[in-house]
Amino acid sequence: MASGKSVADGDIVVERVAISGATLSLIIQSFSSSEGDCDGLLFGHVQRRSTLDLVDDETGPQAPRDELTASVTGHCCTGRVMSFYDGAGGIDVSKVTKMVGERDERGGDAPIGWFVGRRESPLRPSMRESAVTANLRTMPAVVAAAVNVDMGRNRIVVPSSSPCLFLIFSESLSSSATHTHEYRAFQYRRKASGGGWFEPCTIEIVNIGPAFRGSYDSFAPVAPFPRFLKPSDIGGGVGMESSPRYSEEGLRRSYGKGETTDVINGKEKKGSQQQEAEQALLDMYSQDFSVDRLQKLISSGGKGGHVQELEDLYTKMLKKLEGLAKQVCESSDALVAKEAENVKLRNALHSADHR
Amino acid sequence: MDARAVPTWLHAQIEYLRNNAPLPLKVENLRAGTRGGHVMDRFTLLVPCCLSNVKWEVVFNGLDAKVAPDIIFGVDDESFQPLANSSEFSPGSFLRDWTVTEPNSLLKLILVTRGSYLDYQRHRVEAVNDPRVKFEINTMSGLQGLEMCITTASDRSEEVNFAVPLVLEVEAPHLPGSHLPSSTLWNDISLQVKFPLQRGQTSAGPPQLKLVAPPAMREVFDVDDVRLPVWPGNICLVEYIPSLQQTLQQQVREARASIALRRSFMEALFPFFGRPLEADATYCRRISLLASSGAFTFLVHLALPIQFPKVQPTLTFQSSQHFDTRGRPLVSRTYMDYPWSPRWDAPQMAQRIMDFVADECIAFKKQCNDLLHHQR
Repeated sequence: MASGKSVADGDIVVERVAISGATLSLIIQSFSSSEGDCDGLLFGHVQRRSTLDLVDDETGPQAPRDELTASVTGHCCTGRVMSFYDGAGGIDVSKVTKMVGERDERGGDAPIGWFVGRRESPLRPSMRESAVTANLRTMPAVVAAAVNVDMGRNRIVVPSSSPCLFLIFSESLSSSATHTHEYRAFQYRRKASGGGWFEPCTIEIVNIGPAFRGSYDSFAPVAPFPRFLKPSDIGGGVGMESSPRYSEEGLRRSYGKGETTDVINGKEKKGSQQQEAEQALLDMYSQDFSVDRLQKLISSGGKGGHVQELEDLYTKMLKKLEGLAKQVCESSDALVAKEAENVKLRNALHSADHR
Repeated sequence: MDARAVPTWLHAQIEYLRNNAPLPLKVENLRAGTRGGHVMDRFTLLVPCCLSNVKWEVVFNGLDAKVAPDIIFGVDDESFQPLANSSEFSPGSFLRDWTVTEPNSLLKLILVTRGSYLDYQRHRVEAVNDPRVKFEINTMSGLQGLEMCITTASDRSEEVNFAVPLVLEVEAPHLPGSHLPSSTLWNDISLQVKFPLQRGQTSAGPPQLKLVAPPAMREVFDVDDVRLPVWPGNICLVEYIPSLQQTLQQQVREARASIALRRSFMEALFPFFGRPLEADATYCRRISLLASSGAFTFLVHLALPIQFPKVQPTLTFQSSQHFDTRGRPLVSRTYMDYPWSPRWDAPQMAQRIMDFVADECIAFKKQCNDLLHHQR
C-alpha cells in the first residue's frame, strides 16, 4: 500500500476515488433496498499510479506523474442508520470491530471510510456525519487498546496511512418511472489547528478502455480466493491470518479439501455443498496432485526426502506435455491431409471453369 | 390514514416547536425520506440569525423514533461542526441522550445549535484581520443581544454583518381598553450594519445601515419611513447608536401618540354614523361604518394612516344594493381629496367627513345605477 505524499497535517491526499461499477452498484442496491436511510463502512486501499502525460512538443524530459488513487473495493451495510455510532457521532468500537472483523476474515481490504444513503436531502455532510468522520479518523489511539485484546491488530479504524473517505448517496423518486441516484465523495482532511474539513473528490468508475490503462499497469489482485478450509485449520483460529491474498497461507487454504466444512459451525454448513462443487472443479485442475502433498513441498523447507515428491510432480507434468505434443502432431497430420484434398478439389474446379 | 403522514411523535415535536419557540422558527418543505415516500420525516427549518434566516435541513428517521435527528447546515457553513467540541453546551449531549417522548426535545436542540452557530459566526468575525472590525467588536462587546456573522454574497464577496438591538425608552401605554402588546414590541427594532470586505479588509467609507423591525410592527410604525442620521466620518457604531436611538425614540413616541389620536377620532365618528360594523381596536388602522341616504344603504371604509392626523384617512364606499354581474358589491374609488386639516379636533374631523359622505353618496348612487343600467 502506498505510503503516499503527506502534507503538514499528516493526511495523505488522494487525487481521486476509484470504484468499480460492480461495487458502486452494490452500494446503491443496498441503499435503495433499505426502507429508510442507511449507512455502512467502505473498504479499500490506496494505489500509486504513474502516468505519463503525452504532449506534442517535447520541451524537456517528461517525468511520469505520480497519482494517488483511493480504490473502494467493498462495503458493508446494515440497512439502517447509526449502525456503528451514537446520536452525537461517537463510534461504537465493538460494532465497528464486528463489521471490520467479518470483512477481514474474508481477506478484504482495510476500512477506508464510510458512507451514508439518505433520500430527499442535500449531498452535504451533516452535523453528525462530520463528527462520525472525524472520530473515525482521529480515534485510533483510543481504539487500539480495545482492539489489541481480541484482534491483535490495529485495523479497526481507518489506518492513518490511507485517506478517510465519506460518500453520500441520495435517491429521488420524482416519478415512479425515473429513479435518480446521486452520489458525492469527500475526503476528510485534518487541520493543523484541530478540526477538519471535507474536500470533495472526483469519483472514477473503473472500466475497461484506454483511459483506465493505469489501473491495469498497477494491478494488484485483491479479490480473495474462495474460502476453503483444511482439516488442520479447524482446530486453530479460523481466518486469523493477517492478509491471505496470494500468500502461502491463502494458497494453501484455497486448495484445502472441501469435505471438512460440515464440521464447522452452523453458518458455514449452508455453503458446504457449493464449496464441494467448487472443490471438485479445483481438483480437476490439480489432477489428483493433492494440496496436502503440495503443502509438504512448501513446508519442508528443503529438508530433502521430498525430492521424490518433486520428481513425481515433474514426471506427471512431462507426461501431460507428451500427451499434448502427440495430440498436436496428430491434428497437424490430419490438417495436412485435409489441405491436400482441398488443393485437388480446387484444381478440378479450376479446369472445369476453363472449359 | 393519510398515505403521506407525519409520525405522531414527530408531529408533537414540530407542533411544540411552532407554538413555543421564542424566535420565529419556520418549518418548510416537509417531505418523506422513506422508500415508498409514505413517512414524512425531514424538513427545512428557517432559523433567524443576525436579522436574516439560515436554512437548516432537519433529518429525522421516520421508521425509528429512537434515532436522534440530524441537521445539515448551509453550503457556506461546512466548517461549522458543532459536535466537534464536547462542551456542555454543545448539541452533542442532547443527541446522545435523545428522548423523543419529551415534545420539547427538538426545540431545545435547535436553540442550543443556534447558540453554537452564533458563537461560530462570532469567531469567524473575530478572525477577520481588520483593525476597524476588531475595534467595533471590542467597543460593542457590552451590548446585550448583539449578533454578528459573515455573509457571502452571490459574487463571492464577503461582508461582516452586525445586528445591534436598539433599546428605546418608551413609556408604558396608557390607552384605556388597549390590547397593545407590551413595550417589548417596541424593543424589537434592530440596526443592521454591514461592512463589505475587500481582500479581507474593510473600506474606509460608512457601513451600510438598515433598520429592521418585525413585520407586526408595520401596523403602527414603519421603519422604512425613518430617515437615518448621517454617518459622520471616522466614528464607530458605539458613537453612532445613541443619536440614532434618540431619533428613533422620538418617532416611535409620535407613532404611539398617533394610535391615541386615531382612537379618539374613531370614537368621534360614532355620533354621526352609529356603532361601527368593524374596527381595528388594537392599532386603530381600519374602521367600517354603515350609512344611508334615503333608501340607499352603503358602507364606508376608512383606512387610517400611521401618520394620522398629518395624513388624512382614505375613504371607500361600498354599496349594499348594487352588485355586478358576478354578484360582487359595487365599490367607489378611493377618496383622498376631501377637506381636511390636522389642526381640527376629532369631532370636527368626524363632522367634515360626515358632510363629505352626505354629498358624495348621491354621486356614488348615480354611478351605481348607471353601471347597472349599462349591464342590462
